[in-house]
Amino acid sequence: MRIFFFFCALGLCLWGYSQSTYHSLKGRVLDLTDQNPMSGAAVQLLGTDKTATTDLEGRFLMVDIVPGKYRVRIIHPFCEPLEAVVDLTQNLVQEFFIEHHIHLLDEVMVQASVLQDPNAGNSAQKIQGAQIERAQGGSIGDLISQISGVSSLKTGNNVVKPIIHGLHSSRVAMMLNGVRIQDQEWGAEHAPMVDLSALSAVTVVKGAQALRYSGDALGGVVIAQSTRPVHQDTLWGKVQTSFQDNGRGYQSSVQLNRSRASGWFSSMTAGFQKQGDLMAPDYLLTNTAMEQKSWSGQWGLKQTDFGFSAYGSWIGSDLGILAASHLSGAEDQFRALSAQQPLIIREFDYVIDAPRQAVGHGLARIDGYYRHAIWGTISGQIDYQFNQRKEFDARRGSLKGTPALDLTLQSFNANLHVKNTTQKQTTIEYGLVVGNQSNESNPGTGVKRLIPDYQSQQYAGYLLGSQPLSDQWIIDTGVRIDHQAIKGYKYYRTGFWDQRQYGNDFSDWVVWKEDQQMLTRPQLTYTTWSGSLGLHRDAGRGWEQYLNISRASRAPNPAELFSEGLHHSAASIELGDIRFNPEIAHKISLTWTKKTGKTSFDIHPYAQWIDGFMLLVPTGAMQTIRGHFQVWEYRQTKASIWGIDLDAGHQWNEHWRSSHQVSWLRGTDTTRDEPLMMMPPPTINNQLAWNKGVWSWSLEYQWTAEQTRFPNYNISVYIPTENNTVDVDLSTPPGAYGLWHTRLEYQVNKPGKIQPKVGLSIRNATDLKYRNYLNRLRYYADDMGRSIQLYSILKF
Amino acid sequence: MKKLLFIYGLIGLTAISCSKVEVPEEINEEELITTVEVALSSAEDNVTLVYRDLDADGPQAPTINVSGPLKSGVRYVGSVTFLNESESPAENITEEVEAESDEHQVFFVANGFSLNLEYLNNDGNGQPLGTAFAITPTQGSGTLTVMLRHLPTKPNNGNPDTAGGETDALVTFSVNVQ
Repeated sequence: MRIFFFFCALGLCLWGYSQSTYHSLKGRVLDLTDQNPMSGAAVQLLGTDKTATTDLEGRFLMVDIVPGKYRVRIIHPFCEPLEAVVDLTQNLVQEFFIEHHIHLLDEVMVQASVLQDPNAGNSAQKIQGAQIERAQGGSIGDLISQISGVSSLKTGNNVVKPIIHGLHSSRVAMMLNGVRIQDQEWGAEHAPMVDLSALSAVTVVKGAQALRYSGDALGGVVIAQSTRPVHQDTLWGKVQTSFQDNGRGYQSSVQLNRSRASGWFSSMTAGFQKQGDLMAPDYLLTNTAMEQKSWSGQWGLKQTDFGFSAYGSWIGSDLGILAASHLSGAEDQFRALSAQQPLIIREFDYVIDAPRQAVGHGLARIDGYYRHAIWGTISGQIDYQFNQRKEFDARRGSLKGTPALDLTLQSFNANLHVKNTTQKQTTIEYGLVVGNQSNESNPGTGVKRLIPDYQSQQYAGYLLGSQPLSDQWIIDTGVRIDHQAIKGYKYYRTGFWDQRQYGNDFSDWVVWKEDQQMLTRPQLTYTTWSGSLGLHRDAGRGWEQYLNISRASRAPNPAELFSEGLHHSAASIELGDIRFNPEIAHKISLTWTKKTGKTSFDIHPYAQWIDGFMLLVPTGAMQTIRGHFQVWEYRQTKASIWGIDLDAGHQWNEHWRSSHQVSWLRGTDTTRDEPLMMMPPPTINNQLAWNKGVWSWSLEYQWTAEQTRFPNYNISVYIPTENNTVDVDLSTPPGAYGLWHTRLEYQVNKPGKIQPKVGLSIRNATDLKYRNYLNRLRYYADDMGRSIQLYSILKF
Repeated sequence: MKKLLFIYGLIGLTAISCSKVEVPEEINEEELITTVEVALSSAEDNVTLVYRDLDADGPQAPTINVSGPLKSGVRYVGSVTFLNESESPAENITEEVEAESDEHQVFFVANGFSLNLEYLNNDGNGQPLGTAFAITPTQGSGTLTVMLRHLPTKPNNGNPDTAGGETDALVTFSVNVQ
């Protein structure tokens, strides 16, 4: 193995203090394969009490060392320890290279995530390696909700979408390998489709600062990346399998990576997952089975000055939705709320019946880069995305098996990005984005379209710059302009069109108009701009501070503009408004972090003010032949969201470590002076971890408070069997709850050999009965009970 | 380099120029129920109760018609018809309900008087369906609610509150029994 662990002395330098009694050792720890700095590595001078930890640039310094020969030991969490001999006859500057070949899959903290972001003034949080592996079988929403300030909006356990600082859907940009995932932009029950087994790192930027990717992500940006190639002749990969008792689920995935020293690389992953009905502590959650298949492949060339790659992926899921949640109007909801347990409970099975979602997400991408001596790095990308969503309801007659919603959303994007760093470390980035999107609803559903057929064109341009002001300070700024044009055809109910008096402003849209129905040709354009200003101070010894001020603006999406009618899966009538203007948000956030040493922490307060915030709120009930339906209307208002995220960790000794998280926020509709709906309640998370050699164990307590700030949107309906008008309580949040989770893991770490890892994880260990405010099915059933998962990962 | 730019540009332009929106097909709600007709007949008189909402989930209010009062102590034989009148000719949804009788049940709830309900037709398993029924109302004035439930728990005790399923129709008539 020593062959791998060579070290080379570079830049030996004499400072001419040979007469001095003490010397210093100044060093830099770099990754052997790609020469990236290794931050957070512990450096020990054996035989002395001297220790140091490398900073973000991989640098460390030891002073006051008695001259002599020493052994230096370098320990990095993801690497084999390196020992090297140094001869300190004078002050020494030396670079150390450490090998982490076998951990390429984990994509070690090669660079602090901060530096990878387009703006250095961002603080970002990253999940990688083992944390992603442990989330196998779950969703990306669940995975990133480990980060403070991030929560999940759920429709049962199969449909999970991320909420960042209280905002979700089109206010969160999900980037998968550089492509913005479009399938999660609209409804609360449209979850992003991402295959976790193919990912090596997920970065979350809380806020709209990542202007390279979007200017409209008021909540934040989630950047998910697959494994990256390396310059080495190597073949590596992993096989993962897991079994779960709750739902009797199993999951398996294979990943293979081939790379050559010449820079050619290829990789593939394939995964499969199946699960039956899940179990709440007291009963089965009938029809919560799911099945998912996925694959992805990548091939390309990566060299210093030139590279390209082709990437493709597919993920298809069939997701069951709790049978008891399939309801009509408020009368049905009242019945379900009054019932002690779900009104439909059947025997366990793997059958996925209506209501269910069958969703497919395909991605194809070609990208390339070229390093030009004057222009800098020029990169370009074209991508195509195919999203199909079919939602099946319980229907009768010939329509059985016909989806009630059948959307095909296709997006085409091309972008060009130039990044130039001058000798003074000034970085300038600029780029252009051109996109085209089309949505088609299959008319064969026999249900009126909730989202009309449309085509939209997007053009965007951005300019980002970052400049060190001193040794400690970096400033960065960015500006982005987005232009969007939407054209489509929309059938309106004539009564609705007249009631809204759309004829006054949009009469030129009308193609034909009859008593009940009319056809219109909407044409809308929006131009918005967004910007950010960030200051980053690296105070040394792991202390860093960030200040960020940003402006984000988001054009209304087709759901907000055109919704009109019954949203079957939500059992509500949803009404959009074509008169909406873009919403504009201003956000200020601060971050204090200390990333190295025994104690690390991250304090992140933020405040956001939003003008023209589009929100969907209940405005009453409409009598239909199926009973009373709650009517939800989109409206624009002024809103504010402010809160704080706290993260802290402490290494108590060699074996024990604890970590702690607090997330707290307040969202207010300032126009009406009432709380915003569905804002995440405060959470506190404490984790105690132990590890010794090949064993590790952790215990986690996750406490979620009761959300006491909520608007009252209950509706009153006449219930014939009660002969009374009752209040249907759809507003009151459920009570607080605390969940215990524990995990035991056995991992062999032998570089160059097959590395097995076996783990046992128990979630909700006490089988606690609880309901989650952010789960839309909380009205109908308790959340999932205890779940025991056994998993194994083989890396080779 | 220029070549690369050109290729990107070309593909980008192609993507944009390909975009034409065709007029999408008009969708008529197929399983929509716009109309519930309850016909009651006895030796002495015939009474019809009609609930009609042609724009369904749209903003227009329904029209509700009750042809006259009922007589107490008289046995009325009744039928319920579900129609989709947004189509022309109107679609009779009752036929589908009867064809899938094991997945449906009509429930009746009276307030202000007693119904004394009898189910006159059953599904294939001998459980009540209710598109044909009979009532012998007692004197009083109040409401009669007719509910069509899809996929209720069967057998059930006739109480729609605990029978589960999804409500496909729920209409309430003001009824006077003399």
